[in-house]
Amino acid sequence: MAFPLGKVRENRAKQERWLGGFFSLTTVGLVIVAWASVQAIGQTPAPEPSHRVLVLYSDERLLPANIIVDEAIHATFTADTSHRIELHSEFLDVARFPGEEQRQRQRDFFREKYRERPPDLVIAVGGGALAFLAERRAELFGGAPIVYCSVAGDPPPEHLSDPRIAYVPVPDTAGRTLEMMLRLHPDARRVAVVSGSGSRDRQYAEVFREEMTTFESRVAFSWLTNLSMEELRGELSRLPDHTVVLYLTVFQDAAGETFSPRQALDRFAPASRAPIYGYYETYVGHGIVGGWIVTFEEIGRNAAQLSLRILAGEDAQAAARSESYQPMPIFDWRQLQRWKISEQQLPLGSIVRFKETTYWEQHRRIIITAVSLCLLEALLIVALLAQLRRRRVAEASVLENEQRMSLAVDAANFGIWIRDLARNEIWASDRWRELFGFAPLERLELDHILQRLHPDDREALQGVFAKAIAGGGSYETEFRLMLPNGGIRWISSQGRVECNGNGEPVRLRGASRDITAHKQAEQETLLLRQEIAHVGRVSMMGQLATALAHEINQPLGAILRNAEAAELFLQDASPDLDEIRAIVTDIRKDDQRAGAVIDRMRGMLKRHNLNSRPLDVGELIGDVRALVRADAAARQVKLDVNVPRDLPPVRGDRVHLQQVLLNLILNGMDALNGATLEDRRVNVTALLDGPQTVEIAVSDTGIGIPDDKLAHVFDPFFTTKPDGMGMGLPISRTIIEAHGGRFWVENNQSGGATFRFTLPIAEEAAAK
Amino acid sequence: MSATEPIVRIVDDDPSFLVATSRLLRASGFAVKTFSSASDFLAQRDTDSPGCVVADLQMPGMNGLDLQSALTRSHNPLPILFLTGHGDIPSSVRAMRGGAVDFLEKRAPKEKLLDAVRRALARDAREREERARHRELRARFDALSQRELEVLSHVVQGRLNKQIAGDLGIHERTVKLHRTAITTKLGVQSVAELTRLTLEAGIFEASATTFPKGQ
Repeated sequence: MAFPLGKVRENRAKQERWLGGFFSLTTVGLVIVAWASVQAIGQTPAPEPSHRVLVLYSDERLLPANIIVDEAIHATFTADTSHRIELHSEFLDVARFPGEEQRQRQRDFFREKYRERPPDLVIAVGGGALAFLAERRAELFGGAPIVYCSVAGDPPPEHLSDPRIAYVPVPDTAGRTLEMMLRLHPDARRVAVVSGSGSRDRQYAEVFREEMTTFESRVAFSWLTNLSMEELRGELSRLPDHTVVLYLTVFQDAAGETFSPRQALDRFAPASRAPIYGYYETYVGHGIVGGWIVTFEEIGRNAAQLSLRILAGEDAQAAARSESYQPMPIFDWRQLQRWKISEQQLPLGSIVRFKETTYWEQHRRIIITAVSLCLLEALLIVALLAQLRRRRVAEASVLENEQRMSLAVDAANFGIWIRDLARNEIWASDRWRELFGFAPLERLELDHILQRLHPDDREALQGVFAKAIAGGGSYETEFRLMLPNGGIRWISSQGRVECNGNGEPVRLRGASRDITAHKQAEQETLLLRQEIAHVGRVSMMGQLATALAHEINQPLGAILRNAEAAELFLQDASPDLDEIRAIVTDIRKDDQRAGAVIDRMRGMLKRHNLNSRPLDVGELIGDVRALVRADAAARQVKLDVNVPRDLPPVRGDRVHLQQVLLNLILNGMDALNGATLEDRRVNVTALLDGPQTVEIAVSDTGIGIPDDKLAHVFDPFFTTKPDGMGMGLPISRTIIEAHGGRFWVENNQSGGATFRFTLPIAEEAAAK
Repeated sequence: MSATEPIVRIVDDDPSFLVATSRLLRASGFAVKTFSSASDFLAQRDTDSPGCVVADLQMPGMNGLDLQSALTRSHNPLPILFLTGHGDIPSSVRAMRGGAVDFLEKRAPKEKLLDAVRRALARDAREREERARHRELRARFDALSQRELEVLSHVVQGRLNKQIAGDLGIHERTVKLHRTAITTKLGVQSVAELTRLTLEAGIFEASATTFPKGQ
């Protein structure tokens, strides 16, 4: 439950009212039917009114309080079946029509109006009406009894001593409301009292001033009165912390504007930065948090009941004494939310209005029922499905066991065989004979079968058999069959050794399968993977070269075009010398641009950009060899590496030097493109060259480099390859020079070319 | 320069190369205009007069390939010739597929460049003539009425006057009248010539099979 028992919930009450309404509607229906039948029998005349009651209101007709009181009086009289009451209402509107003259006029009017139909009882609502009646009692309504009802805070009228005036005093709700405010806001240090500037406002304020005296020791009071509406809003918006507001009435503000107190509340409540309380029912829902309230409905009902008792002949004073009001704590749920006041803190029996109930709260029972039904149904379905499935599984398993074996064998394309070890006989299925190339009835011998294997695999398979027989277990192996057309078929074979009671192996049972396609795919994947690794490693230099080529081709292209243009201009009979001068200037500029690109590249590879550390030469070359092994095999190039074991480590950047070696080896392999199959070699050698240096050489057995081109191989863009960029060697040379080494090339006497470079020995090693 | 003289438009973001190339082409006898970017060139709306485009492939902003597709969509697509600092295969393939005249490195020999420019100008002249002829042809066909086009569509399918009259629900004499009007308006002498022109103009390419029959 959202809040403790004992608190009345309006919405619950509403539901009950709704149900009640339903029943009463039914009753009304029955009554109508009954009445209609009576009508059918014969017209009965309406009874004469037994009593006339006049309700005289101090204020105007549309004051919210008056509307509620009027309705309650009317409802109470209607509900009473023992009397027939003719009800009249009059409104003095003393606030807007003040003065003795007005009262005289109203007296004359009422006297004339009710001369023929004088009221048997008058209900005075509010002090103004009571005073009006009491003062003119002799002239008006012939001394009919008066029931006086007022709201909390109305000043006690002077005429209550008159024994013909019945009055049920309204209990003090101001004090109880104050008490409650201080309990709900324990840290409140100040109560701001809002009151208007009209005469009635002042009357109400006076009444309250007396009430509040008992509280002055507990909390400070400040009055927000004699203010215009705008000033009031301003004051409320600037209230200090730890303040609560108590709203009495504002019938009129300091600027003379008149309101109903509820209208005034609507105007200033939104501006307030402190919670507002009040003890009039009509304020609830218009900006107050709540208060102890005697509802106007109760006031009206009470007055009507008292009237009925007096009309029935009871003594007015005795009847009045036995009636009493029951104030109730009433709250606005939205305001509780706004000021973060928990419903738990509210007094017992509190009424919380305007509560937004959740869907769950409204329809809990329906939701629970629906969900339960759904769950029940779902459970039933699950149970039925489970039963059905159990039956199907049971039915299927019998069939399945029969089919499983042959299905598995067929699907996997297995060839089955059995070898009897004692009799040395072999039986094999047709599929197996197909795989191994034997006719269906051909006699099978182990030797014949082994003959069909790839020579490299025969021994291995025999070993597998021997081991399985000796160990009495199962085996799994792969081997190649030589096909009559020279091709190869990869076979995967699984088998198991079966033993007799003495644990001696008696037969082998196995299955073989063609896995050629699978093997091919595997090999392709391997090749692809190697290629990707290769390209990835090589591309670092490739990317650098592409970027450089693009950047350097711009100025070089411009130089070329300018030079060509100059040549053409110079062929003129009278060449435009200004134009040619401009061309020459441009050529020089572009040459400097190209030079700057080269300088930048060199700068990138300067010594301080190198991640230099001692490197083992054998390891360095080994790494690169691993990279190019797949390439070399594919191009049928033999790659020889010769590095002495005792070679000291060199100092250098591993990645850069790998790139240099990679570039040289790939170049070497490219150079073998025309060479014969017998002599396709790339040699990588390393040796000690003096106490400080190691020399590494990469040589090939290709056609070598023509003598006239030998001097240009390190020039940028010089290339002998159709798809070459001519950047690999210049970059390599730059790298080596950045390491403090030398880089050069020579043709071999036996053919082919050798690129050589030197690297410094790591200092630590050199010092030894 | 006269209005009909072809102009070589050079588009390159490298000012130095732009000037050098324009010098060489001028010295070789071509009329030249230079643009420092593709958007600059397109903004000048200089695509209607004859000529060709020599464009750098790699330019910041709108690159050469973008320029190519913009040109292809235009009313009078100028042939384009690409130059590149260093060509990669994918973009050269794209360029050539897009109808580029050639794809040359910036340091390509002068003869190759001049030869490519000459080919581009020749292609432009040829295509311009074709477009003009096609436009003129379409204009002639535009003079035909809807009914005449209907009759024409049947004639080029080899149908006889009687069949056409039946198909269209008109009198055979009326078909003959339409045929006379068609040959006069198009200025042709024979059905063979009529069929050839119709094909050339591409009048029924999309609608031949769905042409309305009967009423």
